[in-house]
Amino acid sequence: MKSSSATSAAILKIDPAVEANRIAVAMRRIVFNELQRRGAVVGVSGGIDSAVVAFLCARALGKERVLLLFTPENDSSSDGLRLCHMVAESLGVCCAKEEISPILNAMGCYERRDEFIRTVVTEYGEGCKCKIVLPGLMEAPQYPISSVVVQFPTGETKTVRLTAKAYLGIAAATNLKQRTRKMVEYYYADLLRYAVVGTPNRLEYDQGLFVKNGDGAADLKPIAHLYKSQVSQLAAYLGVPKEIQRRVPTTDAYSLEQTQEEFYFSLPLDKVDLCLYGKNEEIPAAELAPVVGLEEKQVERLYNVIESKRRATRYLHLAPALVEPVKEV
Amino acid sequence: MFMRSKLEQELRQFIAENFLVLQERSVKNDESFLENGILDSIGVLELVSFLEEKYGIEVASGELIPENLDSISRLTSFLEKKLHCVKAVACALDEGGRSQRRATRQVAAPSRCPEL
Repeated sequence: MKSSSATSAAILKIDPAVEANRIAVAMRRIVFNELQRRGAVVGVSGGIDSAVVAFLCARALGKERVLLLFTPENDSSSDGLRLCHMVAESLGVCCAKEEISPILNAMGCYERRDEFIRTVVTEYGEGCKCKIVLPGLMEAPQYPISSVVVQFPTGETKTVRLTAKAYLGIAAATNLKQRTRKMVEYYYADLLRYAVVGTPNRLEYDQGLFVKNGDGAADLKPIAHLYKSQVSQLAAYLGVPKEIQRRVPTTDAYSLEQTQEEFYFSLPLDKVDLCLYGKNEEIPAAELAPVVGLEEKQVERLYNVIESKRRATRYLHLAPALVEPVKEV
Repeated sequence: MFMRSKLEQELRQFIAENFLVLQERSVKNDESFLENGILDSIGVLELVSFLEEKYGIEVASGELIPENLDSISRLTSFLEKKLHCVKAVACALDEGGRSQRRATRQVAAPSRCPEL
């Protein structure tokens, strides 16, 4: 195990100029040489990760070789489009908007999801909003069982623990959104002979916060090695608009605003960031605890949670399995 | 004792059929589901749904802890306790119903209520 005598939040500090250049060099090599593509399509949401990737693409490939794609649907936040335009205008790159609600409606995405919600909240219906939440990790030491939060048109809310059937049904229907977005991104990539550039940061990539063949699909993931706080450092260096830098990371998938913390990590992202780093660098929990502002047992617990999320989401990372290798390709 | 071994067998079968498919091993009584990667958080959700549907119990949020659910032994003990409670409540309700009927009889008898 490594000693953490020097451990502090500063450990995650990077030299953003050096890192931005390193990524740009790699992106040019990958996109132009390895993938043989002419540019990049980036799906943008108005969040910091996709904004940083957009800035990196423009820097690496040239602004005339970047297309930003915004794919709102019925449950998208109202300020997403404005923030996406802000990114496009800051960079002077092309931006396209594709409304995906008609596709999702045709697939029955909303109807299917609502039916599963009604198995636990029978009165859920027209005008209601919803999101999925987990209990805080540092609350009672219970299993992380998801609940649905429903907001009725009156403003009243109700939180109900999900059954396995309801959880799987809601997730399966909602995942249609990320897969539809990716389908549209690849439409433009095919049209322009561009590569699709994914936007996960290290927390999302390592802990499996993505949909297989949805936002998990891409030709290149240029910030998947960076912890969340390192992405923030890059954002500041690259000049990402302040409003986007300050925005709380959300899943952009449910009608009630849902943070990544309440949906998946159950802990503030800066703490998850440090604990993931500590786990990766084999820093003893007792040494990391005072740095993160948690107790030793809590860090130990988080180390276990990190490992169990890796196990549970390993399948998401796997390429299609073959019965035997096909050596010629 | 017979009841306990029957529960253990049913729980082991549920775990094997849903989480150890095609694995040539059975789960040991004290084997941790989480530490050994047998159940993830969705697996726990499926397990809770199974308990509630099959045994007609209600698992409260505060009961969703490893001490209750993280091995066959712990699960069985938890289930025995819950089923005992369900039975006790049913008995109490039944007893309450009988007492109430008796009380009604005692009160109602002087009025010579014909249906009693």
